[in-house]
Amino acid sequence: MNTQDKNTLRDEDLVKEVQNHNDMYAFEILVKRYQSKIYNTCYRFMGDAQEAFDCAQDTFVKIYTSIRSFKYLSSFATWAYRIAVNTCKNRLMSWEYRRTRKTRYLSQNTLELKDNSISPAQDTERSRIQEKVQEAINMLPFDQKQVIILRDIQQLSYEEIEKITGLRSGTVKSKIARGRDKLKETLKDLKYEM
Amino acid sequence: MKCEQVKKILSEYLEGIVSEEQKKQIQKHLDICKDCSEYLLLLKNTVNLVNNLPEVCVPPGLASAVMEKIQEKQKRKTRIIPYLTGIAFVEVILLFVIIPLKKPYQTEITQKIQQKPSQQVQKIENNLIEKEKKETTIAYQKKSKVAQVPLEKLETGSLEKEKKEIIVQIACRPLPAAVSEKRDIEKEKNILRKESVEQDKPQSEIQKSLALSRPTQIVNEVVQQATNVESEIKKHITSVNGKILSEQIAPDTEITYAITAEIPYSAYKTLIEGLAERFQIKNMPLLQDIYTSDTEIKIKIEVFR
Repeated sequence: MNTQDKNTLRDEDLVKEVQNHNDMYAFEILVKRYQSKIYNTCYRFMGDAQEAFDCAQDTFVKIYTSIRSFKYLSSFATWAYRIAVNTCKNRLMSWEYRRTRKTRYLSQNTLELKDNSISPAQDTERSRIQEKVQEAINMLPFDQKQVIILRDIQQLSYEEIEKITGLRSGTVKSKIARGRDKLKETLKDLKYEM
Repeated sequence: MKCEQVKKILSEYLEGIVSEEQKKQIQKHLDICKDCSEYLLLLKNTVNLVNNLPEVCVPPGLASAVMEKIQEKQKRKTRIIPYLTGIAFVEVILLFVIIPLKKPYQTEITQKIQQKPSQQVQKIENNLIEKEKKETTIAYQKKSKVAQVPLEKLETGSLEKEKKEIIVQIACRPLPAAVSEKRDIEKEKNILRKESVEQDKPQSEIQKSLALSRPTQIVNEVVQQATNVESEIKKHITSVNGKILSEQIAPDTEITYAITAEIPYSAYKTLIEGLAERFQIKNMPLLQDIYTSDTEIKIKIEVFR
């Protein structure tokens, strides 16, 4: 099979290629296919570009090293999200991260956004609002943060969220409700103008 | 429906995942409740703010960084394998060859290690008990002004019967020197006798010359005195109306003779003075140090070589 054909393969077929033939090209296709979703998820969890980069990289390395344990019980995307969420969780809980968190927020990186069709003044105001929203997300407890990111940012279904987090349907709903309620209290002075 | 109930499911209502019946009830409530309507507006605003967070650009080097890291890991793995094999080989040798050889030592060491804590505990316990005993004795001594009474005697109630023993150490005159002096005299006598026999002198003359040669009698007396230290001490004790309790003779040890006696308290000074005339007093307590309300005192005289 040539490289062009491989690009059109489904996720599961690419996984099989890696599992059976240790096909690095197939894995690279998977990385490129999911890097945006994984990086953005990591970015919303960590609130920092460098941390997001490290977590996304670790996520893909973990995916590769444990790809033989993937049993096709869920989609590859769900499985990849689960690994990303756990990687971010471990990083957030780590002593090293908590020790350096204060200094990191003081020198936070500026974001490079995809939408470039806005004026500089609008850009500044939007950036300010987005930073406030990200700060509000950062302040959430992890269990609420994960469901808010997966539901309201990654737009995943409740079923997928249940599979990723391992939580029950009712728990997911109540955690989303509580998370939104907390965000509402923090962001009540901000108006949606984006 | 109450406000609390409505607010709880407003998040689900916003997403349209409530039942038809719930939806109707909520709408009915929102029509009449301004507070809940405002709550819903704020919630909508929040969800919109979060929903519309922009997608962040992926740093260009992410995919290549991932692939590099994986390849690096694989290389490290292949490099480690020979080392791991070597380590495993060494472990096997240790397990089957060296460790069984060292086993006796190991068991000895482990036994020692196991014993150590218990021994230490025992030692500490003993120290504590002794410390406590000492403290109790000192406290009691301070209270009753009884000097150096062992605790066992306090416990057994034998305090009244026992009397403080006063130890006097004396040194007798050097006996070996006197003996060698006697030996020299005997030699001289023998030489004289031989000479007289050779010169065919009569017996009476030999006796005369022997008598004139050295003060044999005086020397004999000295030797006699030196060897009869025991009887002399006894004599001193009886002269001050003392009662001999026990005596020990051990010529081979440092203390050749020891005698224990009970003497009147008032006679202590006289006894010491009497002994000092004849012997060299090495160690003796002063009269004020042995003050007691008893009329009798117990004294132990130790004679050093």
